[in-house]
Amino acid sequence: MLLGCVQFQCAQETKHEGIILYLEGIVNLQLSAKTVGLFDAFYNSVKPINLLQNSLELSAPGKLSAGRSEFHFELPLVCKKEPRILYETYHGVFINVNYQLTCTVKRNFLGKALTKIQQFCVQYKPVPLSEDSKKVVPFSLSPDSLQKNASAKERLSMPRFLITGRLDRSEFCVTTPITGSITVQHTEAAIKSIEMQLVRVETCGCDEGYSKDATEIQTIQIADGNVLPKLELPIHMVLPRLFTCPTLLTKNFKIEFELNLIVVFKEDYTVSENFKIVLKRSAGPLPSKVTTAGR
Amino acid sequence: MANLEWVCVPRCYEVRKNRLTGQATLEHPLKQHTVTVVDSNPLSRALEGTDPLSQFARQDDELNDPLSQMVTEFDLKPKRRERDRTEPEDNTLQWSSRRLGILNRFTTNEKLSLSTSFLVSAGSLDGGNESIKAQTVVADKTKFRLEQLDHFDDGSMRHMMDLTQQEYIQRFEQLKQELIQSWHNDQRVKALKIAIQCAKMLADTTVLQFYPSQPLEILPHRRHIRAGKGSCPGYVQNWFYKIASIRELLPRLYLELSIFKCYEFLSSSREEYERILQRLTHQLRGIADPLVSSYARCYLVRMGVTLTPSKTYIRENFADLFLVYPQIFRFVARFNLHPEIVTASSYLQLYAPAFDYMLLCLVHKSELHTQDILNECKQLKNNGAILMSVLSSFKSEFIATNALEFIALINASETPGISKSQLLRSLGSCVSSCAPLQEQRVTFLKAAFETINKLTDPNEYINCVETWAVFVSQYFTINEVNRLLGELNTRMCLGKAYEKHYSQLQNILTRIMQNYRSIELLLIQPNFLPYLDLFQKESVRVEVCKNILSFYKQNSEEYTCDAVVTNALMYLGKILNDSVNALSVDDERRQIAQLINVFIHKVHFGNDLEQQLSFYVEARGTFSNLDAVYVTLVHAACKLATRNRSKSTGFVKACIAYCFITIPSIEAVQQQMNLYLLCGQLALQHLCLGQADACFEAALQLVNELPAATVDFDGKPRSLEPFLVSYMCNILATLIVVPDSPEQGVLYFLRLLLEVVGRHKFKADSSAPSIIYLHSLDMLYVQSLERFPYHIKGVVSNDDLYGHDPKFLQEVNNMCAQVVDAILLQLKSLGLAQQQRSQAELALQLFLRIVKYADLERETIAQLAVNLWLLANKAQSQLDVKTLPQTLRSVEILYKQIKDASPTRAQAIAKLLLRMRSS
Repeated sequence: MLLGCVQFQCAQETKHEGIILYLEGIVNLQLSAKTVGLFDAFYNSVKPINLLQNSLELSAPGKLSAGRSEFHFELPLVCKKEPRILYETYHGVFINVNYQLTCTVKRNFLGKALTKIQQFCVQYKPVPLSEDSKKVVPFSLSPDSLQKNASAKERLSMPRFLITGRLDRSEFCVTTPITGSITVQHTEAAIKSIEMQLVRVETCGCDEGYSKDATEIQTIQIADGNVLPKLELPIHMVLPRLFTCPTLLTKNFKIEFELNLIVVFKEDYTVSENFKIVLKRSAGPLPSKVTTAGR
Repeated sequence: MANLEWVCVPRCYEVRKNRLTGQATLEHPLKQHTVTVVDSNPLSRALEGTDPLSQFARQDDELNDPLSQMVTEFDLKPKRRERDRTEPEDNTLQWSSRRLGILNRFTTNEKLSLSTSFLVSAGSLDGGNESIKAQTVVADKTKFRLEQLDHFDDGSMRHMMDLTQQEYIQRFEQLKQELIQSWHNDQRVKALKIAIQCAKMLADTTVLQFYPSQPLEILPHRRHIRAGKGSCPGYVQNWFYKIASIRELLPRLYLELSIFKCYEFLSSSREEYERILQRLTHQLRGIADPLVSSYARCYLVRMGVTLTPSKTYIRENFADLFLVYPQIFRFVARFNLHPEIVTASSYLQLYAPAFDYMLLCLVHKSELHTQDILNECKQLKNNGAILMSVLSSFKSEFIATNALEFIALINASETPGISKSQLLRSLGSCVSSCAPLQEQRVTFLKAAFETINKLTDPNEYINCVETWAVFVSQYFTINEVNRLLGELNTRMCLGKAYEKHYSQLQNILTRIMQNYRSIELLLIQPNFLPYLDLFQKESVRVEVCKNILSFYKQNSEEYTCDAVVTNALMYLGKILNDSVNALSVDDERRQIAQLINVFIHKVHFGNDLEQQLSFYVEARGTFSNLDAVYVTLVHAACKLATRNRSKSTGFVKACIAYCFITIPSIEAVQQQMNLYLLCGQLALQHLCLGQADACFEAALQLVNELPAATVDFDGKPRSLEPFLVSYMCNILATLIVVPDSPEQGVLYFLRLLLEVVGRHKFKADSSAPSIIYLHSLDMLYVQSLERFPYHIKGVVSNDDLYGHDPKFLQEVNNMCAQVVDAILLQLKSLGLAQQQRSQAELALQLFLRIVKYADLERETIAQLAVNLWLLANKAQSQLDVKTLPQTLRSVEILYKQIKDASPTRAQAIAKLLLRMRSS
């Protein structure tokens, strides 16, 4: 249920032809030209999915008295047709889940209608993380563990190193930081920096024409310079609120998240390791942006 | 009016002295009365139970240190919270006080480079922003901001090279202003960007020497962010999110720390703070450069202490620090190979402020972790640097209890870049303030000096000893001190090492003197004077001697008779005396003379007066350059003479002879005259008439050498005439009892005096000669009396000598006439100079004396008196209103007094009064 109030402040008595509230929830999908090809992108551009469409007449045509007048309203937030669920608000590159409330004041045929749009956020109710997701995800990086497509010769010329670490779990809650640790066991080449990159993977479309894109959300440095071997470095990444949402898998599109661990060596060698992570909402929102964004 | 016939009349009335009545009192009459207002503030009373002021007073009575009392009082505060608040306060206070010191210590002449986009002109900055805007497709504001954050470093960055330190600091000042301004202008993002840039600069270690100063310059600026933050939790949370998305590790951590206080708005539990602090501590491991991370840790601690009294996170910081510690020495090893960048020791020095501060916070009001740290220290390789900080930060009580352990640690420490001498030096100052246990001291000292003596570099050696001197002198016997001095002598003589270390040598000496109980004992040590010989430079030597003497002045016993001590002091005094020359300033002379005087006063041989005198003779020979010392010596000899108890005058004569010889060497005529008079009086007292005569004659002969004026302390000339007048009065009073010598004529000295006064050139219109004449008249009148008003026991004065012989009286009368003539001449010259007022006053003075002393039955005298009275009356308008009536009244009183005793004289006075009235 969406509760609210519309306020009008009029200097003098004003005539109008009705005040209407529209409630709208849309998933905008966009195919990237990169993965599908320009041509496909034009034709296969996926239709937006309507999650929510509702309207409410606050007032029949009439007059607004001078001074302040308020209209309180309540709107049900229910998705009636497929997929019968309201996704969380999300702003990505190719996928946007957006909710907005539009208030329109109709006026006589000479005057243009007045509209005001207000976005709002939708969040899932917290669900606890599953038990088996609490398992630690260990990982290790060494020349041998690197992508197999590097030739054997290339691998031989690489400096030897071993970096181990763990992620504290495979599923994370969007409101708590991603934690884990990393330890440089030994390395021949000096390390310049160790970074953790948060990546979103957005998939649009279904079977025949779909596009899958990974774009960076944020990168955070974990180590600066050639850190001491055998020293456990903590991983601590706060998830940005607007660019993350619980992992979303639907028929038409998917929003997934991955972590890239990037180790940059002195000679600008870069070694990276990819982790798939699942984001969920397991805890209530911290005092969030919602309260301030509206102002 | 020449050849006035003067006849003195006998005194025929009793001289009465009206004494003031004394009154016993307990208070000094000049003491000011103070009113004590008792503070009866009900609040403070409620807090403390009693009145705090009176409590202060009471505790002061108990000889409590007021400071420690303040501390206890703070602790007494009922609200715990308040104490918590004071705790961090004194820590931060310490930090800000350190700040300046550190800034001054770590400076550089190298050029610094500063890269920033905020110093470019506003126009180009805007341009840069617009281009960014064009690129960003996403309309979302926050997205844009984040992009901007990422963009700024390659956007409109401008490198500023070749800045001096001053300019560098200036830039920061500019940045700071910019930061505050943009904060106030609601450009929060810009403010944040500036802050990030500042933090980034902290990672720049290219100019190593300056590094410790950098954070200090930079850090305060970001505090403004915090200050600007509102208390709305959502708002604060938002900021934390923003900071958490900063890409680089160091700025992210620094910024989070700088607004660490804002966690206050989010949660209030202490555990929460500690958890966050711990996480930050761990995150700091990611910074590889040990120097950068040390300072970051230091900053963490600094922010932490303001919020939580817990020490665990500090402890963890140290645990991490110890892990990284060997890394430091990898750098050290590198710098050892390239000393042109920075030397190893100065590199290690850079860490000191951070370590010090962290340790200080760790042990502040908590003893929990001290032992741990020490133990870990032991296990650490190259533990010199941390040990150094431990020594400077830990409580000296702790160090004292573990002194032996420390010394073992130091002896074993072989840290490149930190020499043992540095460590020993710190340890020395620690044990000086708080000594180890009594039974450990000897072994401790032995162990320490074993190492100290092994130091080959004299510079290191002397620096060590400098701090140890206090300890040795405070807690050990004189033998130990002597041995230390001897050791120093031999070490410092090698290759003339002393030349470079005067200040340290001086310090050592001062400390020993400050702390050793008896300065006399010190003076007689065989190694003490040789130690002085180390000071070859004249000025330093003089300084040292002065120092010793002033310590002697303050600390010595009241008297000394030890020949060795006196000799040593004589030696010191001689050095000082020799340093005085024509170029010396007056003040310098005065100081030196004062020091020597104190010493002379302290030498006391008890009843052995002869030895005392011979000491004075020796002193006179030694301190030939100092007037003031001579004056003291003369006084001392005079005093000595009075202590003579034996019947024979031989010793007294010797003393006076000593004075008589000494006085002419004094330069100031005034002083000479005073001293001659004093000696003369003394000689008279001891019946050494010949010497007395000689003294008086010498004194009178000096009168004409007396300059007209001396220069005052303020540089103003001061006339010596008042002095001369009072001096003459003094000598006249003395001369009354001096018997005439058979070789000279009657009243030889008075004649001499009058002659001298007649020759002396007074200022024009000066009243000085007339006053002297008037007093001479008084003196002469006394001579005419049958019995003098006072005598010196044993001295046969003129009254007995001449037995009121008429011939003598005639002589006296003649001289009276001469004196009156001289006064009349003065009157005349005053009249010519139109000085009516002083003329009238003088006339009245003379008039009174005539009435009192002279035979008024003689017509000439009576006529003279009447004339004088008339002369005075002429200037009546200029005189005080009361002067004439009072004069008249005193004549009447005289009349009444002598009416019965001598009716004829009374008759004469009555006649005179009649004449005065009629004329």
